[in-house]
Amino acid sequence: MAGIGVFAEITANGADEALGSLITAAKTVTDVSGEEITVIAAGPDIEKYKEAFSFQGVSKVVLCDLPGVSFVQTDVIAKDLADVIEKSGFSAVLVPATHTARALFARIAMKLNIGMTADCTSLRTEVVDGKTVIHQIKPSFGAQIMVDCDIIGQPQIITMKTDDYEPAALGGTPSVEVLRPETSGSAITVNGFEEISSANSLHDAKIVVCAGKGAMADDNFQLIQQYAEKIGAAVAGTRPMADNGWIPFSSQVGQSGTVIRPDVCITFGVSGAIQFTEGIKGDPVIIAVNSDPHAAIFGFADYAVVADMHDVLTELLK
Amino acid sequence: MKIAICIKHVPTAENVEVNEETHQLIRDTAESDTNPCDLNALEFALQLKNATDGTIDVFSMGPENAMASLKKSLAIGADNAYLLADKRFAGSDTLGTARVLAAGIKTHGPYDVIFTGSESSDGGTGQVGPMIAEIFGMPDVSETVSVTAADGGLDIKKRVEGGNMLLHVATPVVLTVPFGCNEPTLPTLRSQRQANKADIPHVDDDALAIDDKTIGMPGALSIVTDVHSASSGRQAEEISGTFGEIAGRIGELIEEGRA
Amino acid sequence: MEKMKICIIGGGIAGAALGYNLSLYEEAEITLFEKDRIGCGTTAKSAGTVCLFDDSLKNRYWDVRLYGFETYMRMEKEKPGSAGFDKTGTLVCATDEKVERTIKTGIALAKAAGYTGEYITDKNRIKEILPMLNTDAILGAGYTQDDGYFDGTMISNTFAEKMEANGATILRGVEVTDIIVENGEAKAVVSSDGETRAFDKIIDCTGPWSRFTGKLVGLDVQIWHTKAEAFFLVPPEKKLDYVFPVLKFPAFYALRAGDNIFICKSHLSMNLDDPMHAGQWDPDKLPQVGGTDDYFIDFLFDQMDENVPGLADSGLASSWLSYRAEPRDFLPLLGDTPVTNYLLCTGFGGNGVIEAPYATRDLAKYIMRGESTPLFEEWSFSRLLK
Repeated sequence: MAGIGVFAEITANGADEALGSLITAAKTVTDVSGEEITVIAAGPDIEKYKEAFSFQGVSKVVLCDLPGVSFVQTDVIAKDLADVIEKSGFSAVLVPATHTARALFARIAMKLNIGMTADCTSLRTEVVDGKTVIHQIKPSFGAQIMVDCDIIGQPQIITMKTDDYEPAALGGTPSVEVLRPETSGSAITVNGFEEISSANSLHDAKIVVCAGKGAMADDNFQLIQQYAEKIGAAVAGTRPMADNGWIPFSSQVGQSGTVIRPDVCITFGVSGAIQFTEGIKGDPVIIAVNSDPHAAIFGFADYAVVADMHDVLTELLK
Repeated sequence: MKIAICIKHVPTAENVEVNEETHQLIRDTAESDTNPCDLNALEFALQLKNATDGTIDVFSMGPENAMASLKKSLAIGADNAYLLADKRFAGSDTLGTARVLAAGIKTHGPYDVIFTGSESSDGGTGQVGPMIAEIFGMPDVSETVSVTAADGGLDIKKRVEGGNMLLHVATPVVLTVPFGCNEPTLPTLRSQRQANKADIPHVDDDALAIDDKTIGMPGALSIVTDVHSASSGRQAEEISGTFGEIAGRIGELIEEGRA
Repeated sequence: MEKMKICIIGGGIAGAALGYNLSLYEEAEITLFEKDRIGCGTTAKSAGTVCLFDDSLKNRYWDVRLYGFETYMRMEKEKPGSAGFDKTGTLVCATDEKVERTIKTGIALAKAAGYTGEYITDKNRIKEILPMLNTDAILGAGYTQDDGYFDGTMISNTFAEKMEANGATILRGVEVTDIIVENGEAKAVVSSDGETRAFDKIIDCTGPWSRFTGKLVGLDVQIWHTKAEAFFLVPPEKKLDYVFPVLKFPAFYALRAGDNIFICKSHLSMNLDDPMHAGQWDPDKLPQVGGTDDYFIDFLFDQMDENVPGLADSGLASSWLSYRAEPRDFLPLLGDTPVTNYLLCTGFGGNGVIEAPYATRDLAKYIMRGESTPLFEEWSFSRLLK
């Protein structure tokens, strides 16, 4: 029986919280294929994660002990994990869709010449001629289209978004195997860590709060700034806001200003003319607050709040 | 330092639909441009070039319209550009793409640093950069947000959750760069005009030492089997209720979006 | 009271201004169809310059220019920001004696209307106004501080607001898909919301789309699309410590856009028979950004290198391509067509913001009262049929 591997990512913050959800995703496969689930992980002091990986439904935990190896030293980790996967006979390995895990597994995929998909949101499993076939589904172009993928050959690397899966329960009793491979030195040296405050540059920011003309009234703009600070968002605005000196031109979003690619964008009092909307790319979640029900922004946003921004901001700041 | 960078010319029309009969993508327009974070990568390449009196070679695997991105790169300050184009490259998955780019790079190398963008805006996987590193047996650092030449290598800041890891890497190395981590140098009317006159070579399959079975459709291990429209159109979902309820829902959406 | 049911197709500067002017007549019952957002099509890519004495509109039509300018100044006075005015002043450069004469005529007209304006030959003074200008290349320049540029999208939305306040209906996101014609008379409009509505008058305000709209009634609207290729430049100094005036040369114009400079080839220098300048294309296929030809980079570089050298070495932040709609004689198309009750209000070709208030005021009066004006006759569509 081949088996499904699930990669438990460990970073500076410890074990990846999404592991439980990834196990649930793995179970949707093994419920059909009847295979066993093995959690694999690699890093220094790896044995201390034994309990954290013991989810119900997991048969085995394979821990690759790499003393003194940092999770960023993918040149070392990729080699050792590739060995584990090659010898495992897995049909597939589920990997969380994080930057660090995908970079690591991309190396493994090339090393073993195996297929790798990205950011799947759901799986549909069949057994064909005794082999597990996993059809993968992922959104593309924001969420405008859904793409179905298959991988030829086994094992397959499937990186997954786990938002739609409930975490599995702990309390399983998997067998644990600890490997201590010989590790070569890494070309990467870790010299330290610097914390970054939540005040990101506009282009870096995952969340941006945009102020439109309506923010010029009362103390609206002040409330917007306070709200942005509360949620760790960057503040941007439309051209009238910049023309009138409320924001610097470098924070003006739009055709003649700057392009931003956040994950979430909340607009207050923005009418939604094309000069502004052209500055938002990457299909973020857009929440628009405007007291004018006809405002063009509502044709562009994902969520609409037809209300006075002052009232909404007062609540948000509570 | 001898620097290489891989860039991708991507479609930029934000609205796409699927022709439900042919299962082909229909784009609003034929708009295309340089993958945004590739310009952030080029900016670091430029900084290194200037600091070490180096050179930058740009490689792109793509159709003829990728020339626009290559010319823009030259206008920004790259020295040489190469378009890797061949019918046999079509249908490549990330493995095949990495192999073609690596083969192109190998022909003009060796390089001290190879830059790529973190991921492409058209369904980016973030895989190609690390795959190229693996082919060359080089280390890779993804999410590079700062690069400085240092003894025998580079001092790098790598973006992780909560902050930056401070690293030192021995060259040669592959670095992938995320969007927004620096302010890209812009081409000027003068430099763009100059670059538009450049004769950028087309490099085809015969010019590269690759096993055709490992690239293009023959080499592709991940296949798209179907494409369908998802969202039912752009109608904003209204959030109503008391202001407290509205604020609560907004808070939820922010946390969901942040994850 | 029997109301006249009027349909306006297109909610750009022309349609919104016409809608507003018609809404001032109580017998008008107006429905405006805009398939996307008000003022967000061609109008959104306009520079919005409404200058007192530049060459975008012949001095023959001075009253049109003055009326447009004053309409928007009144709009700004009523509600600051509603016309998006940036009072930068304008510097119109004379590259030869002919241009110089025209500028001086414009200054005389502006002064007669109560505005300030002067023709400056002192190169040092010109350099004070615009330090990065190469004054060796010009004879002199006309200058006023009284004007600047506006925002066509803002203005369109203000007109839309006013017409709705007067009882007009605007159907946003609704496209006209067919027009029912019976016995040579336009009768009703079919739209993408699944409705068919009967109208007494239907006016095409769709600008670059007019050829397609005209086809719905079997009318051949002879407009060309000229390319308006605009670039946003980041000045070498990043932030200028002076107010960059609207800068006008016969071949191009420049104006500030935040900290950046917007430049564009002038439309009157377009040759309709040159496929690099003009053609008949599909405005729906126009990308929002990019789409500019190498030819324009060459052209603008040469102009900048000669006249405003600092801009030749400015960063190219972004660019876009827009289509201006103009007939062969570069004048708008207004009024009746061979299809009864189907009228045109289109072909403003890059002067829409300047010309819309005057042209639509006269057109509205014609529609509601049957009364013509000299301008209306000069700009009538029927001139093309002679």
